[in-house]
Amino acid sequence: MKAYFLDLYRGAVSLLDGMLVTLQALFSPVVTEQYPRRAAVLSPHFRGSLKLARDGQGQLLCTACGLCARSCPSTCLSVQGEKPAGAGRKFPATFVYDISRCSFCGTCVTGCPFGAVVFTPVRTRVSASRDAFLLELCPGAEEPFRPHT
Amino acid sequence: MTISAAESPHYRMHLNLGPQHPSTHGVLHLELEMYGEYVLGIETVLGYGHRMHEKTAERRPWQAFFANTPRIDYACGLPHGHCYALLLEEALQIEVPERALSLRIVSSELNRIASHLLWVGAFLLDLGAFTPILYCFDDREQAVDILEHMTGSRLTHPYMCAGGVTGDIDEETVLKIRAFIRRMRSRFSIYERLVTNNVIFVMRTRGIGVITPELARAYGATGPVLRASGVACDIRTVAPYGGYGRYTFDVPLGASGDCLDRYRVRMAEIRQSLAIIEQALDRLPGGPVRAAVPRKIAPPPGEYSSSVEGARGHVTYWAVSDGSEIPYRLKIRSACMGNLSLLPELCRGMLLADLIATLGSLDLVIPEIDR
Ligand code: SF4
Ligand code: SF4
Repeated sequence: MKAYFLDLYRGAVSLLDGMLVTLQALFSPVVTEQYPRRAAVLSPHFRGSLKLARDGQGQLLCTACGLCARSCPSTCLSVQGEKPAGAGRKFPATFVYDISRCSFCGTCVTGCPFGAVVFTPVRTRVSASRDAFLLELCPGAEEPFRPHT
Repeated sequence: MTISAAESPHYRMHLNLGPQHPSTHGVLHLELEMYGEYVLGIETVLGYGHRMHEKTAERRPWQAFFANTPRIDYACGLPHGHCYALLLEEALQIEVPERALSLRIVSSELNRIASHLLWVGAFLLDLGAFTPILYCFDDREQAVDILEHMTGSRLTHPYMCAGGVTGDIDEETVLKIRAFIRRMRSRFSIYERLVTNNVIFVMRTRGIGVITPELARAYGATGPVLRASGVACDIRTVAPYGGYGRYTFDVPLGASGDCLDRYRVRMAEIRQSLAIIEQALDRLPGGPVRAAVPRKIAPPPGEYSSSVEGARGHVTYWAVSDGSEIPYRLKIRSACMGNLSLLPELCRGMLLADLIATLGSLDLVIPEIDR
């Protein structure tokens, strides 16, 4: 009988102690990120949409060698190059990136011998059409969409 | 409890649990044979999350499979990548830089902590306690933020690669990880008061789903499930890989193999993982994080295998190469299949609520079984 009441007492104490923990949490700072209302803070290393990098003069680094397109496990890149008159090397004429297939694995980024394709922390894209996920990364369009705010 | 067949058929029923039930941790479908509230037998139906990972490997270059590895076990993906990297490094005789070894261990252990915290929260949710998952996610968020900075993503971390890791860490990240270790250590007392001492939690888990060491061995259970039954088997100490042999840490063991022990073992493993990370940071060597690897990977013909300790147990990769740039065959052995096969044995005569507790305590990621 005594043991029974002792158990009851110990149980009640453990429950009260647990409630004390939650009570303390009530007065501690809020840790929840208010996501849709406030943009989530992402690390600059976050792997979002790809973009083509430029050198100091604003030239695209990409030489349209096609290595990234061949090594991509999800076959989401297609590159076509052209050699402008007077230029010493090829430049990409179209660089199409199908973000709906991309697994953000980084094979293209680490594999590019020129560091010409890089990740950006841009991640949100919503559309009702599949074509909206085919991104043209070449000049004028290399930052194809704005972050969700 | 004994049930005689002569008893009223009125109480016998066939119950489908899942595949979309919240407590089946993914897409597990259980067909239960019930007698009232008691479980007579169980049939597990798998295959809802099958994504053909092994077949995909046979169609792509060797290194392309790194993108798949974290997606096999999405709650603790880095050990899978680690395992595949070890396999390729063995096949190609690549020497991995010291710094990469340390970073692999730091990231894998952070991933293990995140996975265990996720499990604690989900397990208690199965038991009907909603509050603890909020504390677990608060802590897990810190680990995931660090992993996001290290690896570039929050869940399916594509961090491991043949010859090392894809990114280095700076001094600021080291400080962040140290702050996380301090914070996590101070949180154990909260978990103790909120969960471990809680009388309802203890009564719901003590003596429930007891797995004897013999049973665990017979069914090929691994990881915390096996260790909670008192069998000291952890690949990190039994067959150290990737530099784990240089770290000192304990392998937490349970005594009775019930749900409570499985909880205790995982909580103790979080402490040990923190100790491993701390040691790794204390002697973090400088230098490169990736060895030079040929652009075209084509291991010599032969069979290769590697094993690591994931958050759920043994992960083994076995590959056959025919000397080409594409694997001839890649076979993955993950822990959850062995752990799940214990369930039909354990469930007989259990109350339905205890079955949910036992199922939760096994820490299953069903798509890891389906692959
Ligand atoms: S991004 Fe790099 S790998 Fe891809 S085509 Fe351009 S230069 Fe070649
Ligand atoms: S990140 Fe991976 S999947 Fe995406 S484009 Fe690059 S190589 Fe392809």
